[in-house]
Amino acid sequence: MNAPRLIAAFIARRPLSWTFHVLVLAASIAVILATLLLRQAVETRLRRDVAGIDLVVGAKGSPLQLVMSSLMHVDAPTGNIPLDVWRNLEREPLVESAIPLALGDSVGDARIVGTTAAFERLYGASLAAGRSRSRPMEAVVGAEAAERLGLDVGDRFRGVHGLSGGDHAHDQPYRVVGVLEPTGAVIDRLVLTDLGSVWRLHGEEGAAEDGAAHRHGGPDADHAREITAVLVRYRSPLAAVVLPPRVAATPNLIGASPARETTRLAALTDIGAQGLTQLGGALLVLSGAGFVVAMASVLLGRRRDLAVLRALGMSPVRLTSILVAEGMLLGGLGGVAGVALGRLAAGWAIARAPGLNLALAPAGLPDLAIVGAGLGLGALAAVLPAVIAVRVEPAAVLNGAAA
Amino acid sequence: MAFDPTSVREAARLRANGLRLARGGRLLARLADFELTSGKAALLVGPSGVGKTTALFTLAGLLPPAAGEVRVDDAPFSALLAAERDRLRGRRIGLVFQDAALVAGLTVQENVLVAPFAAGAPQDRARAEDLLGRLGLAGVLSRPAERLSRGQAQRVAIARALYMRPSVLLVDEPTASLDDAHAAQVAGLLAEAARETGAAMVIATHDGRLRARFPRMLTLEAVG
Repeated sequence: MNAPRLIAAFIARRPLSWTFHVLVLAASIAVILATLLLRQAVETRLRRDVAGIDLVVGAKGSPLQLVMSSLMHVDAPTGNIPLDVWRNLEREPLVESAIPLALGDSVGDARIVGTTAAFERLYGASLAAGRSRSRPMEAVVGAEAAERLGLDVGDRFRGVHGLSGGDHAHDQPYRVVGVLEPTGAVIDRLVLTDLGSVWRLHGEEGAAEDGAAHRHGGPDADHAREITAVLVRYRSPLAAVVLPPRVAATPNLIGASPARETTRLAALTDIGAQGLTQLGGALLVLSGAGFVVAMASVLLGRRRDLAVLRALGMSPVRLTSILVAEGMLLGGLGGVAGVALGRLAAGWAIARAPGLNLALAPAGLPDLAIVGAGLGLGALAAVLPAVIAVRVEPAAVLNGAAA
Repeated sequence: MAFDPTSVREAARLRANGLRLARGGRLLARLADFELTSGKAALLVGPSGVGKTTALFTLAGLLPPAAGEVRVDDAPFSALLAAERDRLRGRRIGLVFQDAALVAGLTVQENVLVAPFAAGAPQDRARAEDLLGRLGLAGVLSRPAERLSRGQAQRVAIARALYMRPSVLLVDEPTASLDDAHAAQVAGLLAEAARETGAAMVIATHDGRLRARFPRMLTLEAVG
């Protein structure tokens, strides 16, 4: 016989009631936690992928689409722009770095990005195997892409025209010369090569392709020297004032601020998230109140047992602490179940949208804090009725016949 | 240990001096002074409603006396601080309530072990089993308390009261709703228990059938 056994016996007397209260408490915690986790996952993803880029310059179209395609690599590009746009930006004194991107091909579900070595530096990616690319038709593969495609150093693969399982493969194969360490950023899912390789493939096969972006006469023709976008990092705050208007004034060019676009995107998702959080909050208040009421009615209804334990010599303090422990056990159970349910729900939502490549934040302090809050709620719910119930004179309760 | 009545006078296990009972601030009854030595038993009798249970609870230290004192093993029990009285009650006084008052959800054996648990004393499962076995409950050790018959529940309550080897055994209306055969059986059990453990026993009752076995009587008189 011990306190846990006594607590278990007390709880087991009302199995349905406590299951209900703990589950409702857990569900309301789960709604809030899942919403916060998803929001956090989206924000983390956006922040990582933006990687300190101040401006994305690309062909005219939606700025959100430009940011999504050139930084998140989820949407279709807005079109092509002349290589000179990059060259001019690179020479610009207000610009710290300008990275050209040539998009349009893919292998499996990974996008092939023609770019300079500055791209790897942008994401702080280091090599896990092999070496950096130095010649045309050499490719460095991101960690996740390498794993998903089963590519390793020395392997050859053919790029496919189009961003998602396009219709025809280019003749010339790429050779994998390096595989990157995982970074947690979008680069993990990309295949990197140099601009020349992309131009070469599209130049050779230009005759077979249509569309303004891919009309080529030969490998060195001027219009083959086109890129999709330029990622720009400012050198000074002044650039934010000077550069965007200049880009906007250039025909067929737009500049998009990743910070502004992602904030707009986050604001859209926030409306939903806020609604859910408020719903969860309302549920939490209701379930917490229900829990408190249930605890009070159970403890006050247990006076007889408490009187017996007091009559058998148990001190009021010890008895009260057992009852508070019972409340903490139930509240803590609600917290643990809430964290588990919330993480399960968030994980499920993330798994349903693999293209967004969201990652659940690892369990940590916030989860512990929720369990702690559950324990606190339980203790709070139990302490007042426990004190009241224990204070009752045992004789007054047990004096059945003579009272 | 056999008690030899011819030996020197034994110290009283339970003694009441000038005990007056009150309920709700109103003086209720007066209990004649008495003392009980080891293994002795007495009935606490009086007219209905005079406060027999109140008197029993006063002897148990669950209620303060309006006047007078209760001594257990010659210690001034009723004058102790509440915490010390709780401690002493857990270890020296065995209580059998009128309706057994077992803890539902716990097994028979656990209900007996609640006594040392509440008193903060070491628990001995073998002792609990032995006590229950002698009360004819060996077959229901792990049955939940709420699934016992009335008679079984009362015997579990007796085992619980005996577990701590109390100096004093206080029993409230043990035969109230029993037929003659069962009343005699319970009376026999109690007499045997008191004799074996050497406890002084007080049985609050209005049941005349118990007088044959427990001739000594403590009379509670209404006051005012």
